[in-house]
Amino acid sequence: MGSGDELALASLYDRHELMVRACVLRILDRPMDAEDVVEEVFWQAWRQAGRFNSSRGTVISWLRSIARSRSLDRLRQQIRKGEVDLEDDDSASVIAPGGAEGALLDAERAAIVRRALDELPAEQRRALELAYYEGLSQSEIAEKMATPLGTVKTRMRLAHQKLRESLSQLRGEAT
Amino acid sequence: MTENHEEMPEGREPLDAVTRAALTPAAVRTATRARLVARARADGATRGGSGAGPVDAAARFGGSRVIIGGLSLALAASLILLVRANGARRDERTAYASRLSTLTKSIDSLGTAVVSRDRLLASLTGSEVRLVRLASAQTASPRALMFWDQATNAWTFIAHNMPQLGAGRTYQLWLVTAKDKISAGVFTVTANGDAVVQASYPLDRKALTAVAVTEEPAGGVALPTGTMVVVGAAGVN
Repeated sequence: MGSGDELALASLYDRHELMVRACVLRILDRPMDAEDVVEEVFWQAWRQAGRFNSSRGTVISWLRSIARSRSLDRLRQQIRKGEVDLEDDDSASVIAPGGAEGALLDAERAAIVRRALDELPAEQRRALELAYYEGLSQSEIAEKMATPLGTVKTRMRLAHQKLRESLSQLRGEAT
Repeated sequence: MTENHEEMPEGREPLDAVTRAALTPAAVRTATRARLVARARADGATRGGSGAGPVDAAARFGGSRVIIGGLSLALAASLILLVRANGARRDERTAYASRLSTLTKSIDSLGTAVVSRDRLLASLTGSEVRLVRLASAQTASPRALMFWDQATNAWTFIAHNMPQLGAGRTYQLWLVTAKDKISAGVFTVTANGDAVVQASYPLDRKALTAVAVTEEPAGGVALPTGTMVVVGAAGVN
């Protein structure tokens, strides 16, 4: 990447995008904001590739450091604009994520979660994406997917159930 | 699944950041990747130098893991192929992969072109772009415009009908302030006498008094010495 090979950047993105995204989403709630920040994290990595020193840490810790810094910048920006209330306990808690959550943040576990999601039937995964990424209500999802509301509820319930199983398996492995 | 920052709407359960990250639609992730590659390609064209970067380091860091993972994948793939022996599907998949690769390259290329044009458009149409018209100081009729995007300090100079220069000569663009004459670069013109120069230089918004082009020895000079070809006073925007 230091030699200006954009494919190296694509490779870095492919390998660590999920880890970076998770790091950003710990601090920023809105997926759209996170998307901008994820792009900026990798862009900064591209621009500052020459500064990376492998003797001072891994690529993952370097990217996480950039991600945290850029996310906090964006959060401060939102606070200045009044989009986030610092008095809100929830907002305060996301600035300093707990150690246990931090331990979960590594690329391998993220990849396992993604695999679990990939194993969901397409319509269940789509329902989750619409709910969590686009923030749609179940009624809106039903309308968008041209599906009865009851079906949407069932799909989301089954998807959550499957995810819970996968994630509890993850926790079991982590301990 | 403990990371709950807000009361969840009906039917939605709190998910941790990793899961929420994994729920990002593939199309969104792919679009971000394409934008990054296009930006990098555009940026790479203007950057020089070489040296190992984090990706090289990443390759070293993850080398053994990649090898183990690769061997596992290869073993799994071999078993599947033995069991299914479905050559036709494999060929089809290869064809799709090839087509996808071609399309991805095409998208990347288009992305680069779009980024480049967006940059030019932004430097011409930004809300804080200031325009300086330059008129001829000679009998010929060269004319030029300087767009100064004060928000980004981007300067875009466009000239027409510029006279052809002799060997060893060049045009040099100047930003003139009350105290200094700042070189914004040297340039040559096309056979039709056209030229576009893009530069980046921070300047106080009130400092610019004029923009000028002089004819100078090849390589340019520290201060203008030659004939002034076009000049424009910087009015107040």
